[in-house]
Order: sequence, then C-alpha cells, then structure tokens
Amino acid sequence: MKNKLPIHCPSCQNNLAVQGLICENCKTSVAGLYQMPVLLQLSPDQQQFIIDFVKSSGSLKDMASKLGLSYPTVRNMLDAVINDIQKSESSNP
Amino acid sequence: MKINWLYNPFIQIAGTRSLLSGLLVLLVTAFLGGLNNVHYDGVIDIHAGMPAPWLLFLMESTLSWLLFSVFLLVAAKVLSKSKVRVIDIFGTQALARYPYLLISLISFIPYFHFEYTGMPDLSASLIIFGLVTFVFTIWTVILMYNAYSVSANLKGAKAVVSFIIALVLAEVLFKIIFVNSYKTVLQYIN
Repeated sequence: MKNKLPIHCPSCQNNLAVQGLICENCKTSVAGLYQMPVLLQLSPDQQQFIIDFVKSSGSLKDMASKLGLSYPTVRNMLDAVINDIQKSESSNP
Repeated sequence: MKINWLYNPFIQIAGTRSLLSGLLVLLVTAFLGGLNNVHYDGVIDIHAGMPAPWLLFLMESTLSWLLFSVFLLVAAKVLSKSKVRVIDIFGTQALARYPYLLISLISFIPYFHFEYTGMPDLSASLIIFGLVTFVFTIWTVILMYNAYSVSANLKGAKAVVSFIIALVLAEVLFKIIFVNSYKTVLQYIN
C-alpha cells in the first residue's frame, strides 16, 4: 500500500510543513523548516486531475471525453481546484 | 464520482448531446401528449382532457422550456464565478423533462383518458393520475435543479433561491404570455 502524504495536522487540522528530507540512495538527511508546495497541499484526486489536465494540453473537452464526464462537470472540478489553490495561497502568502 | 442516472445524469451528459436528446424529448413528449390531450402548459404544470391542435402542445412545451432556461441563464451569469455555457443550461433543462415523456406514455393507458367537460371531475382515475403526475413533477423539478446546479456550478442557498425565483418568474411569464395569446394562437393554428 502506498502511503498518503499527510497534508493537515491530525491534531489541530492546520497545514503541515516539511521538517526532514532523506536521500533514498545514500541516506543523507536534511533537516529544516520548509513550506509544503501548493500543489502538494491538494488532495491526491485533485493532483491527479491536474496531471490529467496537463496531459490533455489543458483541453476540458478532451478531459471530459477521457473521464466520461460532461464538460460542465469537468469545468466545476477545475474551478474547485482553482478555489483550493487560491485558499492555500492566501493562508500561506 | 458517484453518478445517479435517475436524478443527475448531467454529470455525464451536457452540451450538444443534452440539447439534441432534450429537443427530442420535448418533441416526442408534445406529440404523444397531444394524442391524449395532455398539456404541459407551464414549467411544472400538467393538465389533461382539453383537445387542441398538436402544434399548441409543442408550443406549450417549447415556450415553458425556453422561458425557464432564459431566467436560469441570467441567474447563472449573475451568480456563478464559473464560465457558464448557454448550451449547457438550455440542453440540460430540455433533457431534465424526460419524466414528462413518461407521463405522455402513461396517458395511453385507457384508464387515464379524460374528456374535457368544463366541470370539475373528481373521478378515481383523475385522482390517481394527479398523484402520478405529482410524483413525476417532483422528480422533474429535482432533475431541473441538478441540471442548473451542474451547468452553473452553483450549490447551497444561492442555487436553491435563484432556482425558485427563476421558476416562479418563468411560470408567471408563461401564464401571462399564454393566456393573452391563447385564442390568437388557436385561430392562427386552425
């Protein structure tokens, strides 16, 4: 099972920051305080949506056709992603 | 994503597909309704018994659909932050009327044939027909709301209130237009 990247603190629900990174090859570890990139703050479904959107060259019609959904449904999904990105940006200026 | 074909097919169908299938629904509903004198004379009005030329049945269905769609489009353009497409509003609203097509089919059952007498008739068959059309009308309203919600990307109180206002305005305007032009239309058709 693939572990899900936690985005929110399980205790207070605030956004989590990155404290440590490790090189899987030589095991060098880096410690510090880094903000989570905006895209990683989105849900896995939304991240997949963005990947699919880029792969479709930004065409909502192609996306709708590939996903078997209507155009307004896909547009609404994109608007939800935009809304969440704007929220993340405003909470982490 | 959960797709509910009974209440919200618009998650999968909108745009040109919904407009073409919706226009077919409107046409067949009016034609079959005309054969059994079932009128769709308003956004959520169904009346049975009054004979009329087939073109009148078509005009009733088309006018109510167009008026309601125009009001919903205006509401969507004002309230929604998304880029609302005209074809989505009009197409999904036409398709949302598919329960009316089923009422037109039900009206083929001889038990549900009514003759207009000018007097109130409270027969058992009319009461049952009334209950059936009531349930189907609620189903249609749910479909119309979901069509609007998906097409305009509106939810919650904003969507519900604007939908109700558009419905009332369309219903009132339909009655004003139709009552004033009913005789003229009939004379023209005949």
